[in-house]
Amino acid sequence: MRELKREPGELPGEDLTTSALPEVAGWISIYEDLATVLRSVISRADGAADTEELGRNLLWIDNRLAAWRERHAELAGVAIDRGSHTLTYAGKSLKLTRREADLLDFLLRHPRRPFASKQLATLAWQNSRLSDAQVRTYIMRLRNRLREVGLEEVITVVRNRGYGIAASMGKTQ
Amino acid sequence: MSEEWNRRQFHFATTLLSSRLLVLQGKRLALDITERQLGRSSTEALRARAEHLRRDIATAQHNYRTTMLEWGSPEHEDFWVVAYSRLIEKGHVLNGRLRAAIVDLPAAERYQVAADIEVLEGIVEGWTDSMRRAMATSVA
Repeated sequence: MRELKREPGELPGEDLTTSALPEVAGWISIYEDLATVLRSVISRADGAADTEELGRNLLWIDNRLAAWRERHAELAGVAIDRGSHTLTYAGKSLKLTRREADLLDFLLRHPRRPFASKQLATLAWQNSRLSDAQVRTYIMRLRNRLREVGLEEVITVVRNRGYGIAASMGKTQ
Repeated sequence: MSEEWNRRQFHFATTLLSSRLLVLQGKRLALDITERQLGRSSTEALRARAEHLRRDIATAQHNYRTTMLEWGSPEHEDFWVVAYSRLIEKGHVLNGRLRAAIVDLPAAERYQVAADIEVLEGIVEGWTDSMRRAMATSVA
């Protein structure tokens, strides 16, 4: 992941990244909406004349979505090394387990969206056999671990909907 | 068994779509009548009724489009009219959001967003052309 740098034209003391962060999170959710509709149209269309072109459109949207997710994580100042499962934030490093790193990485790439335990098990870990209680335990353990680098508030609980990333993510840097 | 199941499914989809369309058309007709009455005498009750019907139409339209995407046949042009109009709508929302933000962004994002807007506009234009073609075929 790239180092955060001051942008050209950015005044000393001015933090443009902070204002860009919620915007980027907003774009990600709209890109996701668009990709979902497009994916559903393609799956229904099955071989119709327009499918190929729509497939190219979806590829572009998915690429942009991936790029903005990456940028969101950069702006938030959180870097996760997926090889060593090490989290870096505000100059501090924290060694996580593979599951913890996968979970945090997934949530950071999908801001502004709460996920239920079952969804997290399937989407973040590709393991639909984990029970809600097990996912809850992982979340609680991860939140405790994140306290060590000052990120204890980053994972939020959205009543009746699941877990997500705090809207203020990155502002505390 | 499978043929019977397909036949039943087709019947169900057709009935569901027809009923959604009838509700939508009924609401539109009711609004048309109310607006004519409003033209003759503008009362508070009529204005409230018209407003209520506009909301009902929005809901009925949403239900019809959702059902069409889920149950409509891609072999029929109506499916494509609905599919493209949904995509265009989402594309416009995204484009509007990107455009509104571009001025206040750091240089790196500004460049990225300008490029996104340009490509997205091209994609939405393509969808608009396809929707027009589907509409023309549907009417013909």
